[in-house]
Parts: sequence; structure tokens; C-alpha cells
Amino acid sequence: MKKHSFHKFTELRPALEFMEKNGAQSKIIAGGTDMLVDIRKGASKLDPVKHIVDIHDIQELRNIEIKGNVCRIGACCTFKEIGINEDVRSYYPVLKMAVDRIGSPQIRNVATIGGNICNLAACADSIAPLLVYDAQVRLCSVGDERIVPLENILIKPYKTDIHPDEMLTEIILPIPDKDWKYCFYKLGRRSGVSISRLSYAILLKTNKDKIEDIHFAFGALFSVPKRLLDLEQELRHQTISADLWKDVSRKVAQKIIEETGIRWSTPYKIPTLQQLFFTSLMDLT
Amino acid sequence: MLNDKYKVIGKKLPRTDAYEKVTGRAQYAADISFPGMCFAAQKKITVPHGMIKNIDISQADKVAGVEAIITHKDVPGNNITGVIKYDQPVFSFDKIYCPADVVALVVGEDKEAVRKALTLIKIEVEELPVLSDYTHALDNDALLIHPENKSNLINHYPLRKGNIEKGFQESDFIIERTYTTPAIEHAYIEPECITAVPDFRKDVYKIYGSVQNPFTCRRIVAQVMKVPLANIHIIQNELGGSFGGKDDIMDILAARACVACKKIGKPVRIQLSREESIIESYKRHPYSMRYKVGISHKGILKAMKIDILADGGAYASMSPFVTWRSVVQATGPYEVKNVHTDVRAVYTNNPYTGAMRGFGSPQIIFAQESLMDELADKLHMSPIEIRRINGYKQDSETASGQILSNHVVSLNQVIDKATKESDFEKKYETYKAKYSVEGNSHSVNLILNDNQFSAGSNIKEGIGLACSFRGCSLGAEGIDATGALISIQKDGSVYLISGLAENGQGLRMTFSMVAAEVLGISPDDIYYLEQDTSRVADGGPTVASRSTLMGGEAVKAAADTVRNRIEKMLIDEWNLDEEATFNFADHYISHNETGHRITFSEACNTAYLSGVNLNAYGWFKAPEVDWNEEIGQGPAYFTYVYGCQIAEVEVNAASCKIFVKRVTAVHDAGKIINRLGALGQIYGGVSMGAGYGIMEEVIVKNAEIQNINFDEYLIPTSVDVGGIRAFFVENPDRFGPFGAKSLGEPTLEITAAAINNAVANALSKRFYHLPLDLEQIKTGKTLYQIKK
Ligand SMILES: Cc1cc2nc3c(=O)[nH]c(=O)nc-3n(C[C@H](O)[C@H](O)[C@H](O)COP(=O)(O)OP(=O)(O)OC[C@H]3O[C@@H](n4cnc5c(N)ncnc54)[C@H](O)[C@@H]3O)c2cc1C
Repeated sequence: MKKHSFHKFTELRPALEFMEKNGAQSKIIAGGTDMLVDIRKGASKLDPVKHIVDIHDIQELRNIEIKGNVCRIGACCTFKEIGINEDVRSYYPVLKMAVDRIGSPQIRNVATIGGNICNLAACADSIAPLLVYDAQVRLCSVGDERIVPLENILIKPYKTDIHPDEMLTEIILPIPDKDWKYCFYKLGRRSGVSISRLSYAILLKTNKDKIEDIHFAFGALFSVPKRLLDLEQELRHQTISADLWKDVSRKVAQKIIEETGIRWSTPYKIPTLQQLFFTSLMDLT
Repeated sequence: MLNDKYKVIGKKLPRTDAYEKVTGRAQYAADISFPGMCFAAQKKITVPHGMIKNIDISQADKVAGVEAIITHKDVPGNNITGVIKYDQPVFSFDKIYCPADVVALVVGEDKEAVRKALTLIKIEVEELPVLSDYTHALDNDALLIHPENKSNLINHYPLRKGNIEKGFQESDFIIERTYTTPAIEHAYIEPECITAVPDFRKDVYKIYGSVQNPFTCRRIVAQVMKVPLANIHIIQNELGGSFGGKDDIMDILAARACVACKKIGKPVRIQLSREESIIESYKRHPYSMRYKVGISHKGILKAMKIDILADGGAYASMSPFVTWRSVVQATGPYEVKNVHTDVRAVYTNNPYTGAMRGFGSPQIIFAQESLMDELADKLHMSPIEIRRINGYKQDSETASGQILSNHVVSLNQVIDKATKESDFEKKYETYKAKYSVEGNSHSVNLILNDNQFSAGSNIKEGIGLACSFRGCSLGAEGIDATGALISIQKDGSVYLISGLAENGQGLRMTFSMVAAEVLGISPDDIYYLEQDTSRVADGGPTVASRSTLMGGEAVKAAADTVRNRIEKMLIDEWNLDEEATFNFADHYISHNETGHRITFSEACNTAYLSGVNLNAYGWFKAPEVDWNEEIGQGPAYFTYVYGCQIAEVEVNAASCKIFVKRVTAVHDAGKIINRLGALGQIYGGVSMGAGYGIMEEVIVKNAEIQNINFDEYLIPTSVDVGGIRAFFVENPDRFGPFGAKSLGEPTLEITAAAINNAVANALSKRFYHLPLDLEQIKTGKTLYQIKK
């Protein structure tokens, strides 16, 4: 097994300084639930890595707080911490539903939301819920900081637009009003410790029999978790009906096929998604 | 339920090893260490089939820190081994048969050096074509895996009864169906670990490890080392699960470690990672089963023609015994006058297959029991009715012509209990009526049209039943005898050991309870000895759900012998009549008529001081059984058990995910010795059976396993199976200790079939292939992601 030097930080500033000097040869570890798997496998993406930078115990990155009209979730918050947080429960129920079903209790005790985003598996469960809540992320380096919409950094599987000297420090969520109906669906092969075969998050605001606004995002269906803004736009002010929901479900399916092509799992996933998504939309209305 | 007759038997008692196991004190094979111990890494080649042209160890040998590189040249005795047939190389030298093969061992104290040297061994291989599809292994032009056999056939068991043609002529309905089941992994928590330690005596070796069958292991190691059996001591460590899976694999690892140990004169350990374990260990046999069944209008089975092919993989291993159980039980617990069965096992380049809990029964039960439900449906009968008409009753005749007369044939009893406890009939009819309108075809278009969407809930409920009979112990497979040794100390404490080994099933507690009952003491007074082949006689393998029945009876015999000696002594002491009977209970021995009474420990002390022998060997040899290989007739097993399980499922018709909501399990295992242990067997067996039903599959492509760790090889977690309700019907057996029989395997073998029937009830659609995973149910096909 390859040997690495290990650097543990408890404060943000020195960690960023270390990254500035050694960023290209360093790799951050938070909960390690993806990293340790890669290290054991001897994954080639770790070939250039000499230093492991442990940020799990940087307390500045482990807060969840509401200030003004936003909620900030520190990148190193564990899924356990997020799942039991009162603000998350009342403002972001879809996120709570998603994180409560990640892995097992042991995984949720250490795995972080920042790690979930930065690892960027197609099936990362926390991302679709964050997308429907219009999440932004704060990326910090020693001399700089940028705040960008979450979708902007999701490039392709296992590849985010985070520079080697940067660290994801927090996720910023606008406070939504309480009129949203919501749904999160995760389908795994089994009920415990299960990787998503598909997942989706839906927020829906209705006005009588019309759609006032709708957000939806998908996990494990596109190459990275994805929101379909055009389709959402198209649906605003339309009259709700079973036929409309069938149509939406089909359009989502078509978009997936367009983007990913026909794969081994398509004959299963595409019909399944349409029926499940349709059922969820019907249940919301 | 507690029977006053017994003080200990039938109680719910925690196991003797429970405390150590849950507190982490128990010593498993990898927990122990020896001075100067070296580690051995195994060199494998990623070619499934090929001729070895050259093995070059010169570079690897030079790595600092490497003690030795071991190849076939270092083997003192037989390099070709096997539990039944000799066809598996300990170290491959001329040919690679499958990806599990090992060419060399690198041995050294420094793990890093060992790893480095491993990459420097150069092996030249000329690749051969690969035979991975076992259904073509017997084709005329099939590639031969072991060409010296002139065929890929490992074994063939015919069974002929009555007149099959006549049987079909008498039938009103005939259906023909093909069922298939996959290879599955035992998934024991503890991967294989073995250490061979040299002794100061020449050619003597002590081998410590997670060994299921110490005596088989000893035989194989002695043959490979070319030393007498007595020179090899196999000492079993605490075993972290086996399920039949720590037999051949452990024997061959022990042999390799011992060869290395001889060469370097130091302790040598082989410890597999999970990936190595899954690649190298044997699996459950995949089966392809063709059933043609004729039945009358009234629902009477007239004829069964059964053709079964089993994938043995690269080596014969236990195939001859596994498939023999299949031929005996292939018709299920049903009387059929005309039976024509052929069971064959074949060689391929696939991972080899061998023993696994169930042992050739889960496959055929999946077929039979699915078939019975389908027949019932065709005849508009209930699943219970068809089984009541055809099921075994007292004195029924089996397919092999055995009359079931020497034990209580309790098939109807277990079915009655299970159907009543689960309210089967009502639920079955309700779901059937509710869901029968659903379409039967799988959708073919990717984008759904309007009427392919369905409104309302996607969840559908179903209930399904399956039952089985199972021959206990080895049957006509071979010699069936075992022993136990008891040694009572002068203070009344007891050493106990038997020839069968603790595999995690709780045998030590069961045997302690049997001895405690006889001696009127508590199981806590018994110190169960570490399993060591030099301590006790070869009692055969710990397999075939035979421990409680065979080993328990041997323990009882041993305990009875010392009890008789104590009684004799007390008759003299107390001047009693020769025929006097005593009561051994609660640590006292008493003679009720005279009021004489002595504590057990005092009695032992007196016996010790007067030179009475308080040590005894108990031996139990199974009653005669017989089998005619030509026509498959004969009394195959000396007694049988019966079980019925009912599965209730929720199927999401959209995602096709199955949740096993509840399983009602009723088993007649004879008298229950440790009720807690017995319940544990049911909970574990049902969960394992559910995994076989809905998710487990070793995916093999071009002979290579695709899913080599538990991220991709899925087994059920604790939240994947809902409630399990366990019931025992206790018809005492005439042979086993206190009337006990077998339970371990029956609990697992029926569950998948019950789930399949429940899914059919929910979806009005039948399935013929395991596992019933998402893609299978949705598309009617198996879809795989194959790694590049
Ligand atoms: C048994 C098991 C079950 C699992 N189940 C699920 C599941 O159900 N759903 C799911 O989505 N995932 C699951 N996972 C995957 C994993 O747990 C999650 O992706 C988790 O969120 C990763 O977080 P971590 O803190 O452990 O990340 P780490 O492994 O520490 O890091 C992951 C990646 O992110 C980078 N990184 C971490 N933090 C930062 C940061 N602040 N800034 C920049 N880069 C950073 C690291 O360099 C690394 O590349 C499972 C994993 C296991 C082992």
C-alpha cells in the first residue's frame, strides 16, 4: 500500500495555508468514507497524492446556523448532525429525508455533506435535495473566496470545479417559504446500506389547480445529480392533471436517454422512473 | 411449552461462548500470533484457463525480507488433492483451471516485502479458450476442462421408479418448466485464516485456523505433507461463520501454509482479504432444472421427469454429494408413482462449487414448490389442497422407494400450523382476487404510453407457501458415526469434547445441555474443550445438520456411561438393590425410596477416591441406509425432518422491489434441545434464504467473478427482512438424543421458494429464475453491469 503523510487540522486557516503550498499533491479527507475505499483500492486518481489533509475536526466547518434569510451548513457536518438538526427538519425536510437514508448509522456518524458533494458520485444522495433548495457553495482558499451555485461545480462523475488550493467550507441555502409540498424518493436494491439505483427530490407550490412553481432534481440517473430547469420553467402555471404528470415523467425519461444513451440498466431504470415519478407527483396533488 | 420431564433440555439458554463473542474476547484465527511468524501471500493469475509455460521466481527471490518462494516443487507428498476426487492442484504447475488457482506463495515476516515480491514472480501462460456456460459443458464439441476424464461430467445420478411414459399417459395435464438458480457466496463474517506452526518433533505440525472440519483438513494436509495423520494436529480457533464454506478452501490453505512451514521452519500464516476470499472460495452450485410433470384432473401427481444440471466449476469438490441429496429429494415431499430423474454435475472454468448450508436442496425446492403452486393454479385448487392430496403421510413411499415408517411424518402438521398462524388461505385468496387483473407481459417500450402508467399505490401484497422434507445427516453418502469424550473431575466439574466442531451454530451449548441433563448438573459446570484433532476421535465432518442428532447422541452415550458408573458405586455405598434407580437433578443425586442423597460433586470425589473411572467415550453409529446407484432406489436416510414456511411480501410494482414483510416458519426438528439456539437457526436461516430469494448472486462472466466484495455482492441487512415468527412441532425421534433431529439447513432451504410463490400471488405472474432482483421482476430478464 502506498504511503502518505498525514496532516490533521483543527482550524481552517492553517489548513488552507497548507493547501496553498501543497494543493496539487494533497487530498482532503473529511469522514473518509469515500477516501478510505479509494486508498484501499489503490485508485489511480491518488497516484499524484503525497499528503492527506484531515479536516474532519475543524469546528468552524461543523456548524449549522440560520442568519438573515439563509441557512449555512458547514462542509464537515456529518449526516447524523444534519439529520437531527431542528432547522433542517423544519426548513429542508427533503434534505433530512435524504441524509437519514444514507448508508448505515455508522456511516452517517462520520460521513460529511462536503465529502458527498466533492466526491461527486452520480448517486450522491444529498445533492439532488440541495439542488431543489437552490443551494450555493462557498469555496475558500487563503487569499480568496467564491460563492457559486452548487450546480456550477458539478462537472462530471468524480470531478468538481474546485481548485487544488480550495476547500469547500459551507453550503448556503436560502430559507424557503413554507408553502412547498415536497417529496424525496430513494430506490436501492435493499433497504439498509444501499447505494441509490435512482433518487429524486421534488418541491411543488400550487395555486388552486395550477402549478405556481416546481423544482425537481435527480440522482443516479444523469452522469451527475441534476435539476431540469427548462422543464420546470415550462410547467409553471400549467393546470395539474394526471396527463400532465405522465407527460412530465416521459419528458424526464427522454432527457435521461438523450444524455446518457442506452445503457445496460436502461430497460429497467427508465420505465421504473416514469412510474415512480408519476406516482410521487400524483401523491403530491 | 416447558416439559417438566427435563431440567435443562428444551430451555432457552445463552451459548457458552456468547459472552466472549459479544465482548470481543474470543480469539479468532487472526487474533493469535506466534514468535517468528511469517506471512504468505498467494500468487494468482488473472487467466481463467491456460497452460503454464514457465514460472520464474528468480527476481522475486532476491527481494530483501523474503524468506522463501514456495511452488509445487516444494510439496513433499500429493500436490493434487480434493475432498472426494483428486483433481485440484495445491500449487498449479502445468495448467490453470480457474481464476482461484494459486501458483506460488511468497513468504516473509515483512508484509511489504512479500507484496513486492509477489509482483515480481513471472508466469508465462498460454491461454486456452474458456468454458463458462455450464449448460453447454456436455455438448459433443465442448472444451474439456480435465481432458484425462474424456468428458466434463463429474457425476450422474439416475433415479427410475414406475413407468414414466405410462404416468404421462394417465395425466390430464402436463406442464414443463425450466428453473435456474445462481451461484452464491457463503458470506461468513470472518475471511479465511490459517497458521501452520512447526513442532520440535520432526515432521510434526500444529495448524491453527478457522477450519470447519478439522479431520478432513488433517487428512488433506497429511497427504500433501506425506506424513502420518497423527503428525498433523488441527486446532480449531473460534470460527467467524462457515455455513459449509470453510471446508475444502481451508484444507488447501492449510496444506499450502504447512508446505511453507516445513521449508522455512517457522510459523506461516495465510490470511485472505475479502476479495481474495470471494475469488478463491467455493460457492453454492448454480442449477438448471427442467421439470415435466403430469397430473390428473383431481390433482393427483402421476409422473415427474426431472433433468438437472449443476455447475461444479473447475473442481469436483463436494459435487457428488451435493447432487446426490438433490436426486433423493428432487420430487419434494410428494408421492409420485412414476419418476424419472437425472442429476448431473459438470466441470467448467467457473469458480468451483461445493458445500453450502442446504447442500443441493434450496435449488430443487425452489423448482418443486414453485411448480406445485403453478399446478394448483391451473387446477383451480388452493396451494394447500394440492399439497394435502400429494404430500407425504405416515408410511408414504418416497421416489427412491423408501417407506417413511420409522418416524412421525409431520408434513401436514407443519403445514397446518403455518397456515393457521399466518391466516394463509384468506390472505392468499384476497390478494389473488385483488391483483389478478394485472397484465402479464413485461413492457418492452422504454417510454411509457398513457395506459402503461398506473394510478394509485404501487405496492402489492402477496403470500406464499413452501414446504420440504429433508433426510438427516449424511445418509448413504458414506460412513456416519461420531464420538464424544467426557471427563468428570473430582469436584464435579466436567470436560467435554466431541468429534464434531463448533461452526458458530451453537453445538458446544447443545452438547453441554445434553450432558448436563443426564448428569443433573448445569451446562455452566461443563468446560467445553478446544477442538483439536489429537484430543478426540475422527467423528466425520460437521455438515448435513448432523451435529445435534449424531454428536448429541454420542455425548449422551458418554454421559450415560459415567452416570451408570456413579450409580453402581452408590448402590454399593448405600447398600441398595441392583435395580435401584436414581434421580440426577439440581446438582444432587438421590434415591427417592430410601431418602439417600448426595451432591454431585461429593459423589464425584468419592468416586475419584475409590478409583472409579469418571471418563468415558460415547460413540454413535447411524442406522443402516442404502442406495442403488444404477436406478436410484433405496432407503437414503435413516430419518427425516419436515418444515413449512410462509412468506408475506410487499412488491412495489413500479420499482419491482420486494420487501419480505413476514415469514412464518414451522419446523419439526424433533425434540428441541436449546430453544434459543433453535430460534437463532430459524432467524438466521430465513434471512439467508431471503437473500437467496431476492438479491444474492455471484456474477460470473467468462469464469471471472464480477462482484468480489460486499459493496456489490449484496446480502440482506437487518432491516431487509421483517418479522420472523418461529414455531416448533416436536415429534421425538427414536434415534437422536432426547428425540432431537436436525434444524440448521431446513430453516434456509424453503424460504426462497415461499417468497417466489408470494411474489406470484402479488403480481399474478410467475418467475423461474433466482434471484428475484429488481431487473428480473421488471423485465423478466437478468441484467448485469459487467466490469471492463
Ligand atoms: C458503506 C457505505 C455506504 C454509503 N452509502 C451512501 C449512500 O447511501 N448515499 C451516498 O450518497 N453515499 C454513500 N456512501 C458514500 C459516502 O459515505 C458519501 O459520499 C459521504 O458523504 C462522503 O463523505 P466523507 O466525509 O466520508 O468524504 P471523504 O471520503 O472524506 O471525501 C470524499 C471526497 O471529497 C473530498 N472532500 C471532502 N471534503 C471536502 C471539502 N470540504 N472540500 C473539498 N474537498 C473535500 C475528498 O478529498 C474526497 O475526494 C457510502 C459509503 C460507504 C462506505
